[in-house]
Amino acid sequence: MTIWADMLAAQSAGPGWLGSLVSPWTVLTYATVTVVLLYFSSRTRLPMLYAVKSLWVAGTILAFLWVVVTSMGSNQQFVQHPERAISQFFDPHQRLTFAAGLFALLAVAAMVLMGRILPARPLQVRRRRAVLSLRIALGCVAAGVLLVAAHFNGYGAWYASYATALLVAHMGEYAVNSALIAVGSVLLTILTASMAAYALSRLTFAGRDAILYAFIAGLAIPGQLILVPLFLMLRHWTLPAAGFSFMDSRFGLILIYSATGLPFTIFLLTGFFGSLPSELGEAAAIDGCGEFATFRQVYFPLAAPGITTAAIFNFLGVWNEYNFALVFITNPRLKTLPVGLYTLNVSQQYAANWPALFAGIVILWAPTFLIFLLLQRQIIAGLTLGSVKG
Amino acid sequence: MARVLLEDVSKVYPGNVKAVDRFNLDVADQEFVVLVGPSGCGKSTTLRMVAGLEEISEGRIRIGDRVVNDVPPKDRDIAMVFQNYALYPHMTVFKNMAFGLKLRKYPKKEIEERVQEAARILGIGNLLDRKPKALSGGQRQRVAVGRAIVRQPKAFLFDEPLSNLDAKLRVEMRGELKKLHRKLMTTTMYVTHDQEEAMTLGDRVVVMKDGLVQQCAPPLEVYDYPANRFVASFIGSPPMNMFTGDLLSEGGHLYFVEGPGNRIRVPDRHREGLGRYAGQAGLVMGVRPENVSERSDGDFAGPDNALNVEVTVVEPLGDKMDVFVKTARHDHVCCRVDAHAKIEEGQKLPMRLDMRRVHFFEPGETGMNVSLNGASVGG
Repeated sequence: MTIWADMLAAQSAGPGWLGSLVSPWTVLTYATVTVVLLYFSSRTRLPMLYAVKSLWVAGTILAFLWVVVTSMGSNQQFVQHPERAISQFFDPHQRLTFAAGLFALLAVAAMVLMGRILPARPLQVRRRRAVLSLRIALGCVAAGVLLVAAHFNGYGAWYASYATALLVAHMGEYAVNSALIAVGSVLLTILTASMAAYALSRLTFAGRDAILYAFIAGLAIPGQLILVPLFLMLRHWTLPAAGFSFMDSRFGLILIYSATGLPFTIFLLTGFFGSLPSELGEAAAIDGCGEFATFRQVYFPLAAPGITTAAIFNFLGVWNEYNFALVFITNPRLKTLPVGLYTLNVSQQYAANWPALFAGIVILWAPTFLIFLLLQRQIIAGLTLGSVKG
Repeated sequence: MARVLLEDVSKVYPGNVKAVDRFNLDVADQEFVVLVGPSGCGKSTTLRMVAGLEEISEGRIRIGDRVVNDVPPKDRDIAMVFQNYALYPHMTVFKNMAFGLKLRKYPKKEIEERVQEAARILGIGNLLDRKPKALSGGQRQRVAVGRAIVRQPKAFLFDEPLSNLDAKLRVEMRGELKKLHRKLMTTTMYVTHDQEEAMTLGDRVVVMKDGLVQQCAPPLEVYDYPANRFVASFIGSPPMNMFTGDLLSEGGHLYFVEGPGNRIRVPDRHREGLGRYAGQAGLVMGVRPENVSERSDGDFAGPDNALNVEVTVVEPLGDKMDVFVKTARHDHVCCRVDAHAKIEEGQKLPMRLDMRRVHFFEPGETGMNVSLNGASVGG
């Protein structure tokens, strides 16, 4: 890290001919030219693509690592050496963290190689699952080793920033709000969308296509566009007697999220229900099911993969949603995490407590990370859902 | 168990497409009726109307003593077996079979007993805990049948249940279905496009084409006395040979002229029925392959029953031999002869017909069998 900084400094002082040959920008140019050249040879193309992808992944992982490690440090440490949260793992003088860094590199290499070394042919699915879970386990161990090493390398009392974020900055409350709203709106969306999608894909009735197209057209409406009309509308929809208003209410936000999530979810699930064989419904009808029982007992369980995918996408969308939450919630006790994080940032303008902010980021990000870790297969399956029939 | 009665049942699809045209059928209690025909003939549609999966455009369907036109499938008390089995993939075999009983709120103990009994009959007792995915085609078929019989319905409906199985398994399951029917004696309607299945299974066979019933009779009657040219060529394998020719009246006898030099004398008992076609061109004579032989004794004794042919292909089958021959006008005539008959490819010889089993049809694809009039063909 320091070498690069020195070079940048040297360059600003006026580059000598040697300096300009190895300055960061020229090196970047060399690298780009090399990549382009390698791309045009069929033998080097694949390794090169893998190398570029690995760099990309490494960059992403390092960014996350930087956030997490910084959130465990002190503010003073961060202000003086913001890069040290990462550089300590590559600095041979910091023996503990350097060793941890080496170990993590080895673990990542092992993760990458694992799928190639273990033969996948017999017991394909089971072995693929084993490889996947081993990879996840290895990744977690590597991350854990890094964090523990950082902790003992002077990033002590890591929980201090988290305590500040959760208790002083109310991130805990925001997390509860976010969880209630996300879970509530996902349940509502799935419930209504699955029934609508079932009807649209399996029943014949007048106006079916019109309704389906109306929902699909809804996909094209950006949320920002309906923000103002929605605001004006909901402001008038109150029940003063019951003390209920859609404004400043978690329930109101749940309704908004469900409504905006419906077009995509219905679109996804209509395709999914449509791909299930119609004979099952006929068999159920003869076995004694009415239309609703056919849906609940036969098609809903069979659509589980599609419904899981829809639930994940909706959850991620709602969990990270910012605009609606900002506009419709003004009561500080009802804020969601993304809005809360922004408030935390703004409120610290003159006495920044960076580790606490980073701790807030980690709190916001952790559930998403967990979902990706556990439901990776469904998410990937969802990306191609409906693209190949059968 | 009950009688199933279809009265003038029609199915009209949007665009005025008639899938089934005034279908009449009286399936007696405990009877096994097979609907057979080429694809698109309306046989499945008919079955699905009985099941309640298709609306009935015209006519009435009775199951037992109740008109079921407006009764939803679940209240018709019938059970259906589908071509692709339609087992619920997320349920075990036991739950698949118990599903219908559970929905009808049978006590747990009775469900258990009935499923076990059905599993015993079908020999799938050891599979009850498996999911359909873990079963072979034949096992899935058994489960589908099991799901139908546990309900003890008034009627079974089978929609091409064996066509997804391989040939050997199909024959085996066919036998088992027949045995099962003998045991349970439940009224059954069975749809297939396989004429062999229709012949072996049915008490009665209904041959359909383009939404119309062509003939409805016991299997052997359909085989021996086909009502028209379509039935004659659809039932039987290899199919009946059809010769187009002219009918001449000469010296008090009728002659069918297949081509130059090939004159067949029509048996006298057909004179009355065929007389009005004399002098007319384009009559069709049908002979089944097994009723053509190189021999000239017994059933094949003359007079004037020989066609001069040239052998094109000889196919020994082991127990029989299929000899394909051509005449001047007809390229593809199949004769099923004795396995050890001395016939070689390229040989020219007279082939004789068993005149008791020769049919004459009016021109056209569904030309009436005019040789049925008055006299029986089979003797």
